[in-house]
Amino acid sequence: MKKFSLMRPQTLEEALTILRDAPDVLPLNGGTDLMVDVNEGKLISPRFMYIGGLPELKKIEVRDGTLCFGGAVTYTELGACPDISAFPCIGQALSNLASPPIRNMGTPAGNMGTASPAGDFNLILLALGAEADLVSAAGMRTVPLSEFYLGVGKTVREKSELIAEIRIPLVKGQHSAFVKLGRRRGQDISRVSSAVSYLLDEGRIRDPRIAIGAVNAVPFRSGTFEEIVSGKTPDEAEAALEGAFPAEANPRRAYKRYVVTPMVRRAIREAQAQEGDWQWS
Amino acid sequence: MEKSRKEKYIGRRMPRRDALVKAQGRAKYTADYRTADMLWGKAVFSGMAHARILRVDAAKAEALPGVVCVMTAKDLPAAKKYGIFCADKPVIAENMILYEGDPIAFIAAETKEIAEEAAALIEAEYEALPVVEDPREALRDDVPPIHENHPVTGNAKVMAEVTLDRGDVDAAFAEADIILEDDFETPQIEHVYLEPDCCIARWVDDTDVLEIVAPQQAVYSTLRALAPVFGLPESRVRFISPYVGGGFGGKEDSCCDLAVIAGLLAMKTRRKVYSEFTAEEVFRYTGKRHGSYVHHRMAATKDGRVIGLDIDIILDKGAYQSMSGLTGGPHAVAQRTVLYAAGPYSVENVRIRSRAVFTNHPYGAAMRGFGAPQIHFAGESQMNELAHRLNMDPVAIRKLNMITPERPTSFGQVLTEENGLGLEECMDKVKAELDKPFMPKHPVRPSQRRGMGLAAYIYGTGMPYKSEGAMCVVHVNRDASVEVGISTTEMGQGAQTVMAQIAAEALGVPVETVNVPLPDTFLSPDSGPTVASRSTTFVGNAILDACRKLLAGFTEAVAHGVGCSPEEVTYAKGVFAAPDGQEIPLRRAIYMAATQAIPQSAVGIWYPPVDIGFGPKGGNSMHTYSFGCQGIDLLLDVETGEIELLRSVLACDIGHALNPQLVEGQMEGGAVMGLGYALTEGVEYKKGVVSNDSMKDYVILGFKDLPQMTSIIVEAANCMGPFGAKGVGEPPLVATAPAVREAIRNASDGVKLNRIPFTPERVITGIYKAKEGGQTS
Repeated sequence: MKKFSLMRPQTLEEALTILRDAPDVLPLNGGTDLMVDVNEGKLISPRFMYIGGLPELKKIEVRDGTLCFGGAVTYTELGACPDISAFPCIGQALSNLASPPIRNMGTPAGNMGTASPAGDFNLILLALGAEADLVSAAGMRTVPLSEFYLGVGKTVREKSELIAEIRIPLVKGQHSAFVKLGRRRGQDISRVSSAVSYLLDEGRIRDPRIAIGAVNAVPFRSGTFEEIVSGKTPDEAEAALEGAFPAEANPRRAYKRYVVTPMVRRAIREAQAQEGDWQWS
Repeated sequence: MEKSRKEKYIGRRMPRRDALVKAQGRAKYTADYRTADMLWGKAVFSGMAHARILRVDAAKAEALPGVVCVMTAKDLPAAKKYGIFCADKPVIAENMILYEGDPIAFIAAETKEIAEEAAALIEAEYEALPVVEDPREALRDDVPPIHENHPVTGNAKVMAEVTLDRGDVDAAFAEADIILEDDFETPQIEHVYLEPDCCIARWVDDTDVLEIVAPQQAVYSTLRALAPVFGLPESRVRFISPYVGGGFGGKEDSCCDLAVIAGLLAMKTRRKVYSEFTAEEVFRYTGKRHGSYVHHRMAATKDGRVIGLDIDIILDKGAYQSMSGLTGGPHAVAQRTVLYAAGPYSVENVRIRSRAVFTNHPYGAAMRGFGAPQIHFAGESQMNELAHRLNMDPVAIRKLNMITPERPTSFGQVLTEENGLGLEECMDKVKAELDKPFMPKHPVRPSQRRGMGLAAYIYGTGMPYKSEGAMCVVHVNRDASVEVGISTTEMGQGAQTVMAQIAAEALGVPVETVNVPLPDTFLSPDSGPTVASRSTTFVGNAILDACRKLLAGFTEAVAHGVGCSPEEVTYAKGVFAAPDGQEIPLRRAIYMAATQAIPQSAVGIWYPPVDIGFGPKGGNSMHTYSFGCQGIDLLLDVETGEIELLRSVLACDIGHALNPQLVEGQMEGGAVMGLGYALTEGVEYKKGVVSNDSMKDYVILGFKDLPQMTSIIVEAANCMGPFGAKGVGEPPLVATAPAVREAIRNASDGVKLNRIPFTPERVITGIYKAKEGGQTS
């Protein structure tokens, strides 16, 4: 039977109390993964707590040089925020991320929580150096995205915690891009994806972040590739990566081995033409 | 075809008459006829693809409050099996599960929720059996047969075997300059019609009739297949098909799978019962396009003549007969793969064998193209390979080999210009269009390479059986409005519109006054199934016949009324003219007929005036054939295997376009479906259980994937068709996959991919294998 129970706390405090007292309760934050699990019978009679209406988790603002958005902000809401123009890769991803109804329901924090290896936005947050605040009735801690994922569906989030806020640093002159390989354009799970960001210092790459998705159990950054491209022009970087393979990648399917590096190179190239545009003061 | 036609409605772009009501949401589909008093009818499945049933216990389900009735195999009132061609599919499985869609019980409950709860209470034990997924493996001696006691084939592994053996194949291969030999594979695919199958059944107590409303492509086929299951004469079962949300061949069979559930439960409970499959259940339980494995040998001369073909085709039949064909006839899909094995070319020496082999997959059903897409993928790929080998132009080599009045089909049928031979024009126009300069609107990545390719096709209109013909009743009311009684389904193709055009043209009445009701076996005569690209031609001709008979009667009535001979009366634009100058409007003539015992209804009938008969040595198969050519222009990323479609150019010789707007709709829809077949689609299984059972996992193309599409209508009139028409429903997708293959081959410096779909994974793997010097597949 496709039945579940649903609680609907009115405040963050109430929600955290529920999670403290009943660790089996699952926060429902968009439901774009969880409801599929219910429909497919993978979740039997779950107890859900809907957090989409919590006002504390719905804010989007620029604070201390970062773009901050609450854990219940949807993709549509984020897409409507003018400040995302600082991150061209976000616009690129949102235009092809699932479909408008899914973007109306789905949330970046929710997808972080379910930790699909192919989640497009998880990769982007990684490439932009984001961090997240985890709150519980006992307190709050901040975790960089690079330390958030542990495995397929596994993260450092405790059952008593909620993702309260995600912060992305606003960096002047940052280039970024997101590319994915799917079987069709849009509405398809990524087979291999890559998100990159870097600064261009007299035409040379500085502070690169190269994230790769749908290859390992968790989205990851390739330190070896980042090292290779640092100090090179994007053209040189592309050439330097030709034929290389990221040491951190461990694909289970043989063909992913062929396409990982071409996707990274494509992201580096696309990022060159995509500099963040924001009212820097 | 001369273009200065005088017709008022024929050849005109007329919007579909169902377009407005569908756009406004007023059109009613089966599920819209649900009422609050209905029971929910549900079939229970085992979740296994091959098993022996040891025990089914429904006691707990029956005891659940709200459950009205539970049926297992022992409760069936009459025939225990059914099928369109032969009754081999169990209504409820008794001993064996042969595929995932074999139900073990039916439940009728007051609500859907109770029915689902009851389904979970059915207790069953099974002995799991090894699942046979590959028909080639199924043929191995050490693999036991799927059927132990099939009503037609007993314990044979092959459901249907069709052969064609003409000329001296061995001699042709011995003297050939070039022999091409290769293997080709196509997957089972799902129809992905937007309206999942559903059914409403009720027992009409005051007339002792079982009434079934369901989306169907062939109400009379359903009737004939299922009346024995209900234990009723066909006259006491009423099948109604409202608007149908897409069928593509699938709703010849799938409606039966639903109608047995709702129908039997309605008979048993004497209540109205609604039953439906979810979209996921449609993926898992209903029929699929046959998967195919083709071993293809082609013998040719160095100047490009194909002189011999030696082809072995193995079809994934799935668990039940459906539309594969019966050995001895009707041969159905297996036969079509043989008929079209030589493509639109004349080849004298052919040895072709096609076998439909049982597996534990969903049954191989009719699907748009009916065997032609599978065999054209192999045949047209080989034709392109031959052109490469000889460094010949792909159009030139096809012209050298194509069917002409002097050069008959591989099965010996002579086609003349009167049958409509438009292939050459199709190919020339596609090539000219592809040759036009075209640049993508976005920057092309350095790793993207351009490639173009084309392929041609042949496709018959109608079915190659002696029983293939159509019947209709056209009735004229006193106000000269017209009812056209046919059993042709409206499933989005525009049948109602074109039939109304034909009747209005023939009778000289305004098209708005012609009504074409939806199929109902109590009211519509049997005009045959809505399949085989046959309706416009066969049913259209039957309507013309009925209209001629009506006008002959009215002419006689007028002649008698004014006192002249019928030959002296003329009729045009709704008015009869007598030799004395009197003008008698149609309404008046109808009244005159009514006073003279002359009928205002006429039965129209049409059978093609061709001796149809296909045997191992050949024979005439269809009265006419559609031809066409598909061109593809794409970008291939040689680093990732991604394909970006730029242009699809499709030319179809359809005889005469009675309504070009509808024809273009069929062509565009067909091309999109063909592109999905080529690039993304394919049912995937885990132990015979469908694993990509949703629109999320089973990938069809979306609008963002589509190229610029050009549809070119070519009109080589069919002298036997109504106003020259031939079929257009299925042909547009027949040649898409080999055209895509050729474009990829040209973009990749010769990578040969012989297995669809061409996913990025398959393409990049093929590119790497070719780099490493290995054989690609």
